Amino acid sequence: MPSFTGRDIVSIRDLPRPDIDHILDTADVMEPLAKAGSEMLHGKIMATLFFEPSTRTRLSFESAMTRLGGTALGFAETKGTSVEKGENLADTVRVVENYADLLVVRHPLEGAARMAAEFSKMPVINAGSGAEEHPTQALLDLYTIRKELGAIDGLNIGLIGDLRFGRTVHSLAYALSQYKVKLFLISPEILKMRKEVFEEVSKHVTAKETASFHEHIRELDVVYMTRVQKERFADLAEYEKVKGSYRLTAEELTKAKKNAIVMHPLPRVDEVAADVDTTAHAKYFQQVQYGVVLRMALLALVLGAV
Amino acid sequence: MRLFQPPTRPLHEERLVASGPFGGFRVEVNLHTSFSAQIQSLPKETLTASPSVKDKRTLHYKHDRKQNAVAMQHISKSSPGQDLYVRKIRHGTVIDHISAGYALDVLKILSIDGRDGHTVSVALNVPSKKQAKKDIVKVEDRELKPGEADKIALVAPTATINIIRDYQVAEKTRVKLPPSIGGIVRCANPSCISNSGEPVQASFAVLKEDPVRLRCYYCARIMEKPDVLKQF
Repeated sequence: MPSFTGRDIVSIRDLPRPDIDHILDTADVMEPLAKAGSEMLHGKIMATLFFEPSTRTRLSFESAMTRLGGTALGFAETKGTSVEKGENLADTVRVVENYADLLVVRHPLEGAARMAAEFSKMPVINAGSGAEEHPTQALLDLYTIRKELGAIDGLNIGLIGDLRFGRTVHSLAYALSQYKVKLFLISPEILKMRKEVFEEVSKHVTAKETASFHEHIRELDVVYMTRVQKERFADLAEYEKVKGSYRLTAEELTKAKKNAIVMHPLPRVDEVAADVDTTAHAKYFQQVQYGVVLRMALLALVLGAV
Repeated sequence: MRLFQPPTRPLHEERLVASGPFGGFRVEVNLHTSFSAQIQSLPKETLTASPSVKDKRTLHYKHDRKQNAVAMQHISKSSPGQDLYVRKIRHGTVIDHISAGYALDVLKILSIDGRDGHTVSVALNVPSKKQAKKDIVKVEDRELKPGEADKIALVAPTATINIIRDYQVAEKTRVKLPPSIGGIVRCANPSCISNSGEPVQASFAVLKEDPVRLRCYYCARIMEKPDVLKQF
């Protein structure tokens, strides 16, 4: 397996299954360190370049870096930065790389992380690029499934909601296509999975596109809910038509398999009712915890500490 | 887009005059058969003697933008079964075996609009042994550059390019898309970083040649032939 040291993590499609499994195995090693702390990355600096608002992803990366003894700097919005003065991404990257050992980039445009990686001498991790991809979310989702259900192979996995604009589901579908799973892609017609993602994924696994959630809930081992993202709609009338298309309640979950888990990349609006939180199915807050562990593994691997 | 609609009745010697989609480039054609529209304008140097040109195929004249008389020459098949008569060119490029109906797109993709003075001949829906029907483009006194051949391959992957020097075929190549291309077309995704003014050019992996399918190197969006044609 090629070394992870200095490697860019731009797209989940760049990671073959052995690499993904190695990252998940490394996360297992990191789990006790998340509580005990470590000086594994002492002296290392992570720069977070967030051109788009984020709460959990940025905090999760900063928490992961801090728990491994490193430090973080950067910006959480472009206000007050040279970006607001008109500096392009290529220049920003070539400046900030001098301050840090690794760059974590979130940007509203698709392909931004790949371009940043081209210009940067330091490794770049994609923390979300427009509606395109969110590879670290996909990795933490896989880690959650493996931790909660013991394995990924053999599962029926439903991705529900906004499959068109939701970057987390694009990356997750690509990643899952490397495992022996059956995918149920459940969405309203106008929010169907992007053609290029569907075509690629369905080459490797059985992927069923449907609008009916209730018909399939009994079959699912993983119920992966997503928010319909208002901010991605150019026409708000279109948003109004599809918001609230799928709403999962504790009552609905009584039809689900006993061991089925409910996941969500968060934030949620109303697609997962509050009464689901107290059921044994709800794993979305554990997902957040696993996210820190998984990002600790990525940082340690890319910075050559493990 | 087709420049001419198929005739609904026999058009022997009927003249059509149409404004082309090339910004003022006018073509005048005689349709001798119901399946083809083939044109060729004579070089200006042959016109100094006016209508006394000894070419029986020259039937009528029009004026170019500078009011020079331009003879319009029939090169069409006069009846089924006869060989196509296409006048040889002395220097230039013949693009043959273009998929039927795409010759005008080839002109667009090469930015040939008739304003650069080169004599251009276009034959549409010509019967062909290999392809049933094909299109042909001849550009006199202009040789295509290698990058231009890549562009042609995007819309006409079966085309061959013949470079003509002194009436002889000096080079003959079949167009072929390389595994990846850059700088020829833009990504069709407006949210792609390559469309944002950053110092990068759009690059694509070629997934399929005919019909073309490209994957953007940056945003991974798939582009198909209609997306490519829209840009020219």
